[in-house]
This record gives sequence, C-alpha cells and structure tokens, in this order.
Amino acid sequence: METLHVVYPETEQAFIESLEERSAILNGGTDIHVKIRAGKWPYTRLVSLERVETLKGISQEGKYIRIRCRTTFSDLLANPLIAQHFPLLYQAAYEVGSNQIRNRGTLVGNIVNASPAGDGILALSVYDAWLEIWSRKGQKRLAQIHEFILSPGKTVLKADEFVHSVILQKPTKPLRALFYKVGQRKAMAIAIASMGVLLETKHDRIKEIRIAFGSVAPTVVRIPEIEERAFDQTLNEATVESWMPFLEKHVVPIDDIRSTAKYRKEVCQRLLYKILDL
Amino acid sequence: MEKNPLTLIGTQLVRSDASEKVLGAAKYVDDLHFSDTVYLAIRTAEVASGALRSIDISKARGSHGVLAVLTHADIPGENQMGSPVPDYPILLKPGDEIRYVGDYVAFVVAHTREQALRAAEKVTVMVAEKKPVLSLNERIRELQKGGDYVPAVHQKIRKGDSDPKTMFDSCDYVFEGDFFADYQEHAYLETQGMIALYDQDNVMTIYGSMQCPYYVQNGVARALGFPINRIRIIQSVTGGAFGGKEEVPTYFAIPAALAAYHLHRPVKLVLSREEDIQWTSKRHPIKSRYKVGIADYGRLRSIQVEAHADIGGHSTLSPTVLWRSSVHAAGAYEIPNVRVDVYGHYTNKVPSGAYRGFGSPQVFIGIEGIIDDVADHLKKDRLYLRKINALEKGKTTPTGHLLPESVGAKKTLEEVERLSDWERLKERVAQFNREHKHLKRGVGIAHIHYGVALGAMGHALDASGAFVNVLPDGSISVHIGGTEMGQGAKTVIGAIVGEVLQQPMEKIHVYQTDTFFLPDSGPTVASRTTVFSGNAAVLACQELLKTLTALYSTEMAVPPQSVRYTGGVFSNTEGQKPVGFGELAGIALKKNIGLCATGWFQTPRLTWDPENGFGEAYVTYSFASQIVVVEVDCLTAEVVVKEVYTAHDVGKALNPDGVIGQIHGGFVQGMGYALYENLKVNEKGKIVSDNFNTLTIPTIHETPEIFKVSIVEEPFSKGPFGAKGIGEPSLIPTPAAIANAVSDAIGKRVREIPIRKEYLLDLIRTAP
Repeated sequence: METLHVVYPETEQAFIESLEERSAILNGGTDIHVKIRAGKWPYTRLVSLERVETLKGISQEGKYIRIRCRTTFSDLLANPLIAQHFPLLYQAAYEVGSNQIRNRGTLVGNIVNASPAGDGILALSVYDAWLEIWSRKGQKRLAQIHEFILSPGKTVLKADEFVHSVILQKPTKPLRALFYKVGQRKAMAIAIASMGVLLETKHDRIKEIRIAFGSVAPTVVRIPEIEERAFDQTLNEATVESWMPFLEKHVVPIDDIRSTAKYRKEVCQRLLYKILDL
Repeated sequence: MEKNPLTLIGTQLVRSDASEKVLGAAKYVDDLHFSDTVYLAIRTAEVASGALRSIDISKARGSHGVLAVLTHADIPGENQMGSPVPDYPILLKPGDEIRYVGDYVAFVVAHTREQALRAAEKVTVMVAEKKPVLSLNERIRELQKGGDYVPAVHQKIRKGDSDPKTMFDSCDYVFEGDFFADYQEHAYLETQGMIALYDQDNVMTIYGSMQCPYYVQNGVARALGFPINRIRIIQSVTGGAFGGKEEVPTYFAIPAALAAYHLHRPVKLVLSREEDIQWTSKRHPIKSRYKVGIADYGRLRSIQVEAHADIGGHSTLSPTVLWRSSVHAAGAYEIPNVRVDVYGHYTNKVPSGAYRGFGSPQVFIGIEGIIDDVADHLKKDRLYLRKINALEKGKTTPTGHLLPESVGAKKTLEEVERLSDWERLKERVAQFNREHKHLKRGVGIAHIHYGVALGAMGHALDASGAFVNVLPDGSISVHIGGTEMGQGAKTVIGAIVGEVLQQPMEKIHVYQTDTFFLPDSGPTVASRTTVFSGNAAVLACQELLKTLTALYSTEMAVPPQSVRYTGGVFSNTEGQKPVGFGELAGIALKKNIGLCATGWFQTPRLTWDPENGFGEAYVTYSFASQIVVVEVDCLTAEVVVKEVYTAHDVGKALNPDGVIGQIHGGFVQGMGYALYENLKVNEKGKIVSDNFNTLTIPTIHETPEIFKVSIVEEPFSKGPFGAKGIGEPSLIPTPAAIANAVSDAIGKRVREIPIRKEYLLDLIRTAP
C-alpha cells in the first residue's frame, strides 16, 4: 500500500485551497476505507472535511432544507426536520450500516460514492433532491440528483468541484413513506435490492406515488410509468400486479457477489406488495 | 476423606480472563513485539490445479527490504505437513502437483510486511495449468460410474440388517430425501498468526494463535528435522478458534519457524483477513441422501445414509471429521438397522477441516428433516415422534453403543417442551399465520447427541496432563495441556482446582498453554477440555492433598485416617488442631516437601470394530434439544429467528454462566451457518467473499430476543464432578432446527443450508 497523506484544513477557505488534482475528499471515509483495502484506491492524498465546522449541519431556508456536506447519517437522525418532512430519508439513514458507520458516514459521501445500492441516494431520488456544487474557483451550480449520478461510481462532478450541500424542498402535503432494504442481514448490510415509496391516497385512491429501486440497475431508478398511471387507481393487489410489467424496462439487475439478477428482479416485483401495507 | 459441599463448582464465577479482554489489554499474537523482528509473506500458487514448472525468485530477492526468499530447497527437515495423509508439501517444487490456489511456492522475508508482500508478487511461477475440479457433483458422478476412481475417504457404519436390499422389508413406511450443507467460515476474532524465535538453547520457540500447541510442535519438528524437545510452543491469547485453529496453525508456524531458522531473527507472520479466508479451512460441504424406514406407528426401524463431502485439495483432518459424520449421521435415536457411508472427495479447493460440530451439523439437517417428514405423514406431533425414538440408558446408539449412564436425551426434549410451552406455542404460531398474509412463522425442532472427546478413531491422542504447583505463599499455579481459546477453559479448570483444594479462585492462576510444561496432551477439540484437562487437574490436586494430609498427620500426631480437610482447613476428626492450607503449604516447603504434582488422565478404553463400523464410538455423549421460531417474509425470502428454547445435557454445569455463554454463542454461529453465510468460490477456485464486507455473519441485531436455556445434568461418572462437554453441542442442533422451522413456515422442506434467499424464494414460489 502506498502512503496516504491526509490533510485537515480547518476553514472552508483552507479546504478549498487544499484541493489539488490528485487528491480526494475524505468525508467520513466509510467507503474509502473499503476501497483502500480492496486495492481500488488511486489517490495518495486525502483532504479531510472533519475539522471544517461550517460545512456541517442542517438548516431551513424558507420552503427548502439544506444539508451540508459534512452532515453524518447520525446527524440526520437526530434532526427533527428530517423526521418530520423527509421520513423516507430518515428511514434510509436508519438503515445505513451500524451506529459506528452512521456516526462517520455522510449523506454527501454516500451520493458522491454513486453506488446503485446507496441508501441515501434512493431517498434523495424520490424527493427529487438538488445538489449545490461548488468549484475551487468559487463558482456554484445546482444539479438534480437524477442527473448527478451517471453510472456506478461516476458523477458529473469535475475534478475541481465538490458537493457543498443537498437541497430538499419540503413536501406541501404529507406523504406516507416506505424505505425497504433487502440485505444479506438486517444490519451492516449493503442492499441486494431496495425500494423507496412516497404515497398519498384519498379514500383508497392513489393521488400521488413516487417509487424508486436501488441495486437493480447501474443507478438508482425511478419508475415513471407507475408514477404516471397510478393517479386515481385504487390501491389494491390487482393494481399492484398491473404495475409489474413497468419494472421490466428499469429493473435490469446483474449477478454479483451478494445475489443474482433473477432474485433481484423477482424481489422488486414482490416488494410492490409492501405498498399495500403502507 | 469425606465429601465437602461444593463452593465453586456450579456457582456463578467471574471469568478469570474477563477484565483483560473487556479492557482490551489482552495480548493477541499481533500485539507481541520482539526487537529485530522481520516479516514473512507467502507466495501461493494462485492457480487451483496444474503442475508447477519453475520458480524464479531473483526479482523478489532483489526487491526493496527483502532479507530472504525461501523455497522447497531451504527446508532442512521433511517437506511435508500433511497428517495423517502425507499429501501436503510445505513448499511446492518444480514437477509437483498444485491442488488449490493456496498451495505454497515461496516464503519472502523482509523488514516490513508491506515489503515482503510486494516482493512476494515478484516471485515468478510457471505452471502447466489443468482444469480444476471445483464441483463435488463431478466427483460423485465419477464414483457412481464405477470406474477406477477411489474417493480419498470412506467411513461406514453397519448395524443390524444393513443390506440395502432387505433392510427396509420390515418397514411400514419408507421416507427419502436429499440434503446439502455448504461451507462455513470460522470467522474467529484474530486471523492466524505466528511469531518464531530461534533463541537460547537452540530451541525454536513459537508464539501463536492456536488451539492445539502439540500439533504445531510435532509439525514444526518434522519440517525442521529437529527433535521434538527443541520445539517449544506457547499459545498466545486466542480469540476464538472453532476448529479453525486446530490443524491450520501448523501451516503458518512452519513458514515462520523456517525463516527464523535461516535468519536467526524473530519472524512474524500474521495473515490479513482476506488471506485467512482464502487459504484456511472451512466446514466440509456435504451432500447426503437419506432413506428411513418406519414401523410400529413411528418407530425408526432402518436407516441408510450416503453422504459425500468436499475435502478440498488436501486430506488434512478429513478422515476424522468424516468418521464423526458417519457416527452421527443416523441421529440421536435408537435404530436397529443402520447403514451409513460417508465419502470424502478431493477437489481443487481450500482444504475442508475441523469446525465446531466436526462434520455433524451437516448430517443432522438430514435426519432431523426426515423425522419431521415422518411425523407429518403419520400426523403425529414432531416432538412426540422424537421422544418415542430417543436414546435412553440401556439403549444402543446407531453404532451399537450400549449406553450405561448419563443419557439426558429425553429430558432435554421434555425441557424444551416445558420451556416453550409447546402446545400453546404451536397455537400462537398458527394464530400469527392466520393473521398475516406475507409474513409466516414456523416452528422447528432438532434433537442431537454428540460424542465427547476423540473417540475410538482418536484413541491414541486421547490423554491429557495437568501440572499443579503450590507456592510458599499458598498461591497455586496450574498448567494444563488443553488451551483457553475463549471458551472459558481457564475459569473452569481454576474452579476445579479450587474446589478440590478448597481454595478461592483468586489464589489460583491458570497459565497460557506452553508445551514446555506438559507432555503431549492431545488437541483442544471435540468438547473434551473440561473432561480431560479437568480430570487431569483433579488427579494432580488429589496427589497434593495426599502429601498435605500425610504432613499434617506427622506434624500434629494425628493418624492419617482421622485427618479432616474442610473449608480449606486441616484438622482432626473433632475439628481440633486446625491448620490452614496456606500455613501447611508453608510448613511443607520449609521441610523440603515438594508441593507440585502432575495429573494424567487417559481415556477409558472403547471397543470398536473399524472394519464394520460398529461399537463404542465415544466415551460418552452430550445431548441437546432445541426449538426455534422463525419468521419468513414470503415476499423477499428474508428469515428472522424470533424465539429459541434450548436444553442441553452437559452432565454437570461446572460454570453455569460459561455453559450458557457457550450455548448463546453456539446458537448464533449455527444461525449464521443456517441463514447468513454465503461463501463464494469463483470459477478459478478462489474464494471471493474474502472479508466481512461480502461474507456476512450475524450481528447483535440478528440475535433472537427470546432465548431460553435449560441445563440438564445427567452426570457422567468419569467426568470431573460429572461433567461432559458443551463447546460443540451448543451449535449442532441449530442449523437443523432453523431449517425445520423455515420448512414449517413455508410448508415445504428446506433441503440446503445456508438457506440463501435465492433458493428460498424458489421454494416459496412453488410451495403449495
């Protein structure tokens, strides 16, 4: 293993100045650690966010909520704004790793890691989150979560950019939320398949549904066909079954060390029934 | 001397090694540091099958920091570590056959581990690759074809009518079924590790994580060509072994010792988790076919078992493991007609080896699954069916062993019936299932026996020593040949010594095992340590009491037969002239009377016919019954264990908290095997789920909330205070109980473990 140099800037300015060509940002490190161990880590210099206090925290900005990049999953769970307005993000955060991992791991780290299994990504996907991206030169731009992730491990982030914060719009009406992860075990497991659903019904009729799956395609996928057709449908078994063909196009899993494509495909269809209990 | 009431045995004891382990102060092998230490890395073949053509070490030798690159030519003794079958060269030489990816080609020693690893990659190896045999089925087909193919191992049991043509003639019903149990990884706390020092007296001293120091001692002596008296093995603190540190540590002590021999410097070899998972033994995958005949409304009449095990690239302990499989294959029941054949097949994969339960959990899933089939078919209660077939005093085991005593089998069944409130439990589960559509609960039972110690096949190794030394201040040091590996041996042996000598635990120090102090005491395996080291300790303590009694008698002018020893105080029959243990020990030592003694316990003789596979297999048996409740999510095929009721006949619980700890730990490990582990071998014969990122074992979140234990005590007259073993029986019923519970939940027989979601979803989809 090559020697890794880690720098700990203490201000935002120092942090931005520390970013160099061959360096990566250490923001929790729970994914980096695994990659280093697997010998899949090209960088020799890490710039840690750990001491940059101003990049941490959750704030309300009108109808938006801003989650800064150093915010850990434990921070999300501890903040009442998240539980109140974004229950699916709350549930997803709760399902991440273990206490120790949630104490270190960050939502933004999870996004930038761009794994199709990212629990945080799935949650942000159903909330149509925006990411505020800063460049070293001080430019800012916004990207929607769906455009941000290109493929496993790949994002639109340029070499001199970093994700400063996640911006979420508070839903105007209460949506019921379900995050369900199928893993190799209950805790400390990476998703074999996961589903996120936001649902609003009136007298058993669906007024709005947003639905996404993780770990079953190169990126987290939303299922627009269901979301479009479901309006005013009665929420029952027949309806859910009628949705199954719509998964076909989006749910395109692979065999890997954790499970098979066949199982993943089938379990996604079957997970739809869980919406009936929502 | 009269019997005193027990003051330590059976009471709540503080584990003697608890605080150092909880505080993180315990020194595991990687925590030990010697100056001038150099580090060793192993270059393995990295192909699963083929012939080694050539080895070029020149680039590695020139690599930064490298001190030596050792190959087959550098072995002073025998280039062989296979025992009992010599099929395992230490280092391959050109022309040798490669049998699995982990076969050794060269050892690289450097100033740092990183340097050694980097240089090891630079060893160039030319191989004529062959297509590896990776599938057990391929071997089974070869055997069935009936050509020249001879399996590496064949163990058999024959009892009563064992002719497959006639043995089922008198049966009313015949049930058949196939089962498969896959690999299991030991996942011990610290990886394999060794430090070798070639120091004073020209003795090779090795510290390491292990459960069987004498195996290591013999193996290193053979490799170095040293007499055994110049090899000293000191077990370092060992954080769990589970069989994974039985035969395997020798394979790492040898490289370290070889390097220390050549370099005269301390050599450290501690594996990464990935190396450890890729190279070291696993539980044997076993495929089995069961045929069971029933007569008289549910009595087992005949059983035929054919089982095939994947032993991997080298034979190692497979003959012994599979012998135990054969002894336990027919279950813990009385069956008049038995035919068992267990075959072991070489493949080009990691050598399978010892693992808690030693080849028995894989076959118990078969017999216990079939018993449920029988009960369901006859519309009888599954617990009742086990009761009417259970072993009792005066009955014979499936190997024809007439059991004279210590048979708590039925009692364990009655205990789980009581603990679980059996009839109400079944009703509760049925009620839950009526109320839920996609969540289904199931109840599973398993009933097992387990032969304690090495048994008829391991008779030659089945003896153990203990050395007890009383010091001038009355403190007592104890050396045993068995090892503490996390199971609590030090505490239980300390309690035994304290009980016999009537001294408090604080006065007793049980040492880490060191081959310098005692003769070869056999391995710390087979749930034998409490019985064997315990009995040896009792014998040593009795010797000391004799000496002290004689001394008291002389000093106090009391006839020897009138000496009383109670509460740690010697006196005459009236309780007068009291002298405490410590005081008398002081007197003894001033008078130059030695207060040290060695106890040596040998296994009772067993009558066994190896030709026909019949007779007394083990000195005694532990028994267990277990009921579990699982919940299956029929949408996703996820399984959660909700409730556990388990009863274990241990003869006598010397340290009840320790027994319960073993039962909890064994259950969780068995549950990991049944539900969570998913060891993957790729098409090149390499294990790819090689760390805990991809190899899942249970966490605290998976442990069931309801866990009730009952300890049954049917004393074993030859055990210390009546004790038998618990180390392995704690795990053995669990995979079978869980497989049966999942079967019950989904209404279809689960036939393989681990119960992978992919497999279970197929079962659920096709269930009635």
